[in-house]
Amino acid sequence: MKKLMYKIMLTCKQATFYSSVKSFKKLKLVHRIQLKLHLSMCKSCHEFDHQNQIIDKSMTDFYKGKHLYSEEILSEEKKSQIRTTVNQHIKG
Amino acid sequence: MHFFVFHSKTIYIQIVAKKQPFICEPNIWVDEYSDEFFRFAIYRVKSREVAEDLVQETFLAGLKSLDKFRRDCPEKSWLYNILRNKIIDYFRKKTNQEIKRSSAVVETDDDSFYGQFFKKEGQWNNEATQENWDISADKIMERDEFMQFLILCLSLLPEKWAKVFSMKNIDEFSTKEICKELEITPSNLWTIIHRAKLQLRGCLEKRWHNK
Repeated sequence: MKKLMYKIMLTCKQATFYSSVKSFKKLKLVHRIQLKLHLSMCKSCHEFDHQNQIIDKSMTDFYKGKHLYSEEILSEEKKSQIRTTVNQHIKG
Repeated sequence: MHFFVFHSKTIYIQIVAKKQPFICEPNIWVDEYSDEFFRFAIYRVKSREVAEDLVQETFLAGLKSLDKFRRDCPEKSWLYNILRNKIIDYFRKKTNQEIKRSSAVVETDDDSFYGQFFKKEGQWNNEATQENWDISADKIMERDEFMQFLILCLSLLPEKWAKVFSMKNIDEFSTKEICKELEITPSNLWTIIHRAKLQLRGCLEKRWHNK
């Protein structure tokens, strides 16, 4: 029985592995179940999984350019300065 | 024909690219994009001057590498890519010293890397136990700050690791395409993702949560 338990139960290292890669690939059913089982019993890995989701979501926001809260715009002065520089480079 | 279109993203892109390549017009860049890029940058770097410089540098870098513009995506996305890399570079430079230290840790062999987090039997180290972060998506200030640290921590990862995430999120590459591009096997890729996540989480815990 003990041996069987060891076979079914993931270690924390394995659980964090499946938790990390699951946004990249669909896990096999058996791994999904093993992960779920582990997460339901291990508080640390449960937190890791939750934090992982926060990281994934925020990373997508960063790369996709969402969350533009700021109302700031460039000053006309700076803008025309950039325009001049860019135009110089286009000609040059 | 339709069969191929639906079954292969690459072929689809090629067909679209052949029919109507995207054009690049540097003359309109400043008027069209500078405000949006500036907002994108200032939100992340929190400094007017730095953000202004980054916008200008982005346009100049774009002009320099015009020949690399592949015409398979709009120029705006292409420029956004450059800007994003500039922001990451900015944080990288800012923390140059720390990188040297952290990459030394990160590039070590398997045992000493995982040893930071796990015991030999695969359970968490006592020092690495997880605490509840308690961050909610709707509290903007909180997320704002969190994002700062996330970008900082991303900039501390080895370049190849960070590239995996940008390829997945920006280019929406499949894992197969990512492996091909980085010349690694799928199991290498899973290991990189696992390590990167452990490292990112640890970095955020240390810098953002426990500060």
